Amino acid sequence: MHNHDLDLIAALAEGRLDADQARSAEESFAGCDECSTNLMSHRASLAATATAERPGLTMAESSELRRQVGDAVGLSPRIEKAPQRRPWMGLATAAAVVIALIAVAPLVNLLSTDSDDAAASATTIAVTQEVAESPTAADSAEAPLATAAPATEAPFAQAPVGAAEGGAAEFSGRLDRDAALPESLLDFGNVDDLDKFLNEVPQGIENEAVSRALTLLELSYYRQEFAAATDEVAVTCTPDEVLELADTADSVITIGTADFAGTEFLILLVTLTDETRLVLALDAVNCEVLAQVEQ
Amino acid sequence: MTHRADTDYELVQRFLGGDSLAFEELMTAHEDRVFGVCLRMLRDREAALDATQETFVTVLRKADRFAGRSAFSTWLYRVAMNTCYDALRRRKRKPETQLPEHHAPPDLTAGDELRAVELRPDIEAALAELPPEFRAAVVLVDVEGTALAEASEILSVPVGTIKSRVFRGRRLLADALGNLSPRTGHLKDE
Repeated sequence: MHNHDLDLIAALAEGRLDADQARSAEESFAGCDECSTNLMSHRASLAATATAERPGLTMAESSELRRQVGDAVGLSPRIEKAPQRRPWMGLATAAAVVIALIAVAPLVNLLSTDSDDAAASATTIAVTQEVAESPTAADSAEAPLATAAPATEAPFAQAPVGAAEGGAAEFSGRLDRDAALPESLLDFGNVDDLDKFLNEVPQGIENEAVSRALTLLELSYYRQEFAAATDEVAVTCTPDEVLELADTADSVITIGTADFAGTEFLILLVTLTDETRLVLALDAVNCEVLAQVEQ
Repeated sequence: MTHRADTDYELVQRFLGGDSLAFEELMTAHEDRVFGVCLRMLRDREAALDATQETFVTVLRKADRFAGRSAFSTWLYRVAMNTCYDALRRRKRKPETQLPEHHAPPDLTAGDELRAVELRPDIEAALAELPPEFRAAVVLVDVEGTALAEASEILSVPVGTIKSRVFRGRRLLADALGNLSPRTGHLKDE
């Protein structure tokens, strides 16, 4: 078998050799079936790809693409005019809501021991009240995801955690997604995906949680769609800013990051003072919590 | 740097300064080609549109990190390729939309989707037969005319690997074309 240089075969097929070089190469390949086959393949493939047409966007597609991209990167005047929010408020918001849930869950159980639905409804009411008392709730009326008190008023270690100390041990059930999770976690996601997230992550170790969370990042696409259609403000939510919250919880650890649909994602493991652990999938751009589970 | 690369660098700087016209120029310069690459990688127009959008959003959001050491287009197509690979991985996890394995029967709907944009179904169906890494190399180098060095940057593999993928991809493509009915773009023997 000949040991011909594949580069030479490619160069001949691509027409990069001068006449003498080409003739010499052809002669050397003449007695080599494999070389001839290779040469024919290169030529057939090149002939085909040379005639391949270049697909293009239609005018409508191009226009829509630019609108979507422009909105997402902040070229929209609507977005530019929107007020700035505190970058870590999303996490603090979620934390406040989660802690409220933990705090009221035992009470709910006491009030309604034989009806899960009733318990879930009561939990929802308690969360709603927490939200209603928030001084920022009115400001966030057009931004359904921003629904709770500012972080300074509802850090992890404040009253809700104290309340949870007595009750968290009894609160062993997973949150009822349909009734107990705040709307902010449900509005924009694929419900089936959220179910999967909630059902599977608590069973795993941290890496498994990250792995599973990453498969759920398609949810961010819906969030992005929503942000483009509302007055949501794009702010920067860096890991460092998120970790400012670490002194209000036992720890906040970034256990994963990812890009999806143009949205940077943080997967955080938050350990509260009662050792309750939460895995949060956090949109790193606008700091909104997309999904969360308790471990 | 080429004139295009210089122009792109200036456009990026202007975009960072809030110039929406620069944004439009960047989109005009690159959107069709990014879309074309995504369409050939994903073989689905809607998926290609999504990938194109995701690519531009990702790149423009991080445009402040672009130092101009390599061409903007190299970065852009690297993100596009990574986005497509991600999309293919996600698709592969869903049995109902699983990609055909190499040498498996072709996806008979691929040609329909591509015919919608008036591409030659035989070539597109043959390209669709290639495993993604070979398809990426052939599309970039032979269809898009990207230099081997730039393709190696885009795909983050050594030049030698790109060459190998292009060469093997050409053989696979020729084999697939040889097995295709020229009128339908479907395999003769299947």
